[in-house]
Amino acid sequence: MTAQEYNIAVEEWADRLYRFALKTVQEPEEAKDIVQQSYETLWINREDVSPEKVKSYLFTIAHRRCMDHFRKPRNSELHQEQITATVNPNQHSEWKGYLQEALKILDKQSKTLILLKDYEGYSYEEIGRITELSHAQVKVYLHRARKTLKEYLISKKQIL
Amino acid sequence: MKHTDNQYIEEQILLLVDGELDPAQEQNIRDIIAGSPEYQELYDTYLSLKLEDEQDIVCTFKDELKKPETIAFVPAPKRSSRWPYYAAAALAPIAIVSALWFGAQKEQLYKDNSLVKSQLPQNLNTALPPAQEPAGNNKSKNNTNTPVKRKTEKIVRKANPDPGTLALIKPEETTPEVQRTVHLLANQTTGTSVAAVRTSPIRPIAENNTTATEDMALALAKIAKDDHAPKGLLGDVINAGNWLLNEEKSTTVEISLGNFIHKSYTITLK
Repeated sequence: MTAQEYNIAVEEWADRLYRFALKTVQEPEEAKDIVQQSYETLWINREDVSPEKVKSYLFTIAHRRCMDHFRKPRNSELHQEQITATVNPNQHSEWKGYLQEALKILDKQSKTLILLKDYEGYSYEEIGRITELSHAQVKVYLHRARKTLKEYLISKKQIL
Repeated sequence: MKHTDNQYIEEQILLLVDGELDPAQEQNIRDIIAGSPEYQELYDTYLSLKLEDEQDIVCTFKDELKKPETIAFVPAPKRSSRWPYYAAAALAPIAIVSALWFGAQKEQLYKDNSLVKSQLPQNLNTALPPAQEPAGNNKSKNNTNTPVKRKTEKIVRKANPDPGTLALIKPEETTPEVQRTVHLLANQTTGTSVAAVRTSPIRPIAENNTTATEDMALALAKIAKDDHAPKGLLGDVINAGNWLLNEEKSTTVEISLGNFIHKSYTITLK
């Protein structure tokens, strides 16, 4: 991969990567760091990455960095504040707002799978490669996550 | 094949939502959904749970991520090769052992056959071996001490005997081939302590070595009176060289000194 191809990859995938990181970690600064680290890793290993595999490579790195982020000891109060600040239901339609809220009840892994599937349109197989899960695991975790979301939103509707 | 199991159909609906079915499977589940309001509702619900891409969230720091497309070639720093150090480290003990061994050999060789019996000989005529004679007479000299001769030849070779080279050699090591060797037999009269001076043929010297020896002895004795003249064994060599060359020109003298310590020095006569 040349420097030119690398810059094209920045233009093409940086928005999506940042969105994925932001939705996953819910912290803009942390998301920025993750995107920068992902591209830095790509730059270092650019000789080994072909242009057609760039997107998958970037998301794999970003996913790992997100998981690393969750493993770090954190201040839970601050984390909660940041989530509240980031997700503002007023910015979306009512349903989307609920959906974004519902995402918070999912575990990190399920949330990542949903993001990769819905935002990026990856197949189960591709998601499996990025998250290092088997095809069956991706399918089971994703279906479970969707059922959880459905039940949460149905119960929310009933309350409202 | 028609499936009526709710769990299976829900799974098929989820796969349909995720776009993971092949065309035949997709058609099959769509038919099922179309025939059941319950499944249609379930399908709609799952469809509504799909997240929509949020285009308003953008990466505002793309420029920070980009790299210059023309990068100056910077050669990778040369990795310093360490093998010379390893080689030196490996050879050091060998060199030390060799030096000690040769030192011991040298000591044995010159134990009783020293170039100069004493650094300050009182009477070199008695101190020197009986074979010492002027070069003209040294054809009859006994050269049976082969190892010593070999050593001396080495020294002479090292002196690179070109015109103008003087070498102090052991008298018993002079050979007929060395035609222009002058033995300056030191004695108390002249106070000279030079054992022997060999010159390369820079200019003819007296065929009669005895005369030359006497002349040199007298000349050196005269020079020795000069306070500024070099003194001692080395000084004598320098003075002898100057006398032989009859001029102060750059010349190399190699000398061998000592009884047990045999060393070579190279000096320049000016």
